[in-house]
Amino acid sequence: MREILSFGAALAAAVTFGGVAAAADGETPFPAPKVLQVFVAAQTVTPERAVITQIAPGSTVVFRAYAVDGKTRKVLAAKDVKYFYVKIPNQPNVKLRFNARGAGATARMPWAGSWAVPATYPAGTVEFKILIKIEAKRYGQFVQMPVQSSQLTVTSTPTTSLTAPVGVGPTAAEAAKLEVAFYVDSVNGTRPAAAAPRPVGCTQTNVFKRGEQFVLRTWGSDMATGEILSSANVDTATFTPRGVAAPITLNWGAHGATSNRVWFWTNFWNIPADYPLGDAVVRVSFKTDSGKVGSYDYLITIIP
Amino acid sequence: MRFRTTTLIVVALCALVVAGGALAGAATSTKVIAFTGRYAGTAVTKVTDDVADISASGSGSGTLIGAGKITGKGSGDTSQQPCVPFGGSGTLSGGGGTIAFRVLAASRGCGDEAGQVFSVVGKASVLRATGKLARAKGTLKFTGIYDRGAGTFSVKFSGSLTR
Repeated sequence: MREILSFGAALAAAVTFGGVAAAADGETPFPAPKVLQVFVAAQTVTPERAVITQIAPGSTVVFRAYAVDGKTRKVLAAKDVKYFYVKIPNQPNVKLRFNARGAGATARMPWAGSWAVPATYPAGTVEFKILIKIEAKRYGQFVQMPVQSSQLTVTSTPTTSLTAPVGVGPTAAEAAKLEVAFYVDSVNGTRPAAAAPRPVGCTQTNVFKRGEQFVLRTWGSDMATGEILSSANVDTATFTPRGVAAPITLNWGAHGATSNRVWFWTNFWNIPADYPLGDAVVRVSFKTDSGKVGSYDYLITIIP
Repeated sequence: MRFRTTTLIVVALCALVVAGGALAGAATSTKVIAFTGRYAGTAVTKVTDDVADISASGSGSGTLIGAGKITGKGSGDTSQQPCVPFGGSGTLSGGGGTIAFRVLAASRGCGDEAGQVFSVVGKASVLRATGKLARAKGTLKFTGIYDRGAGTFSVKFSGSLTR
């Protein structure tokens, strides 16, 4: 069984991300110039749906995900999937189950599985992968953006992740065919305008204090061609927090260490000191040069 | 009476056909040219206060104009971060002709965390074209990279021109 899964992992890596050599003009789109076969997006969260980066040994982290078949362009449900699991170095695989009401899961990301971090697990980043095979014999894979501060990290002294409960989200992933599919997350900006900076900047979080700097990161794929959305094929890309009148332009650019720089979409928003507390939807919207449109409602929670 | 009515209808139809033909004739006289071009070279930015003076030159090739050169000059507002809006003008030239263009507002270069590698995106309005693209007009989208540390850039132009 283990050999079969290992073979599956290698196969998923080979068939999911295509055209690395085709990356043009020095750009390295994340996760690859093309996403083939099955699109996968995933996050690490608490059972109460707060996105976290740092986790202490002995604690539990939930992996949650959604996936889209690159051929049918439909969001995958339980009946469509052969296997869907998290592969963690030196740990048993964590199976993802389809249950939008499960711990950590949402309507948008209904696949979830929990990992109890062993008390002896070594400190450092966790280089996990999420692998999927669907009944139609197509494969997909998810890996974290190679920005170290935003990757799942085991530490005995978590200092940076805020963990208030977050809602389940307003919408399920679309049942109809998707023209574009998105991965969306957010990190804490290093220069908050009206709040103290967190001990570590650029860590994944969806719980923010008023006055902090919200940074949205996203990448997506044209489901018809598999091509990653980039400035070369996108007309407009924006995000709009609830109650903010003017959409904020997303910028395509390079991020991460010089030795492993990748390209995706980002921009920041300084959360006003009087912004309403509680859950707030941030709508991400893209329009491609060829006229395709897509949106993603991303949920954050504002605390005092 | 019936003859007169029929005649009127025929005349009216003929008028429509003639008018339609004239319109069709006008439509077919507009030619759409799908243009793509790729260029790379060196660029220098000199920042004084919040203004970056930009100059760039390089080589590459474009549809119909063939292999040749790119030159450009402009300025950017570095007070705006992480994306610096910029404008200016430039020329693409080759054995098949030239395109003189003006960089439109909303063009920008977005830097990485170190402010060294910039993603460049914008639009260029064709001011004048010669040679095989003579009289061509339109707006081209451009995307590319400027590596400030290395002093190099690469850029791709694409879009439809008409004449």
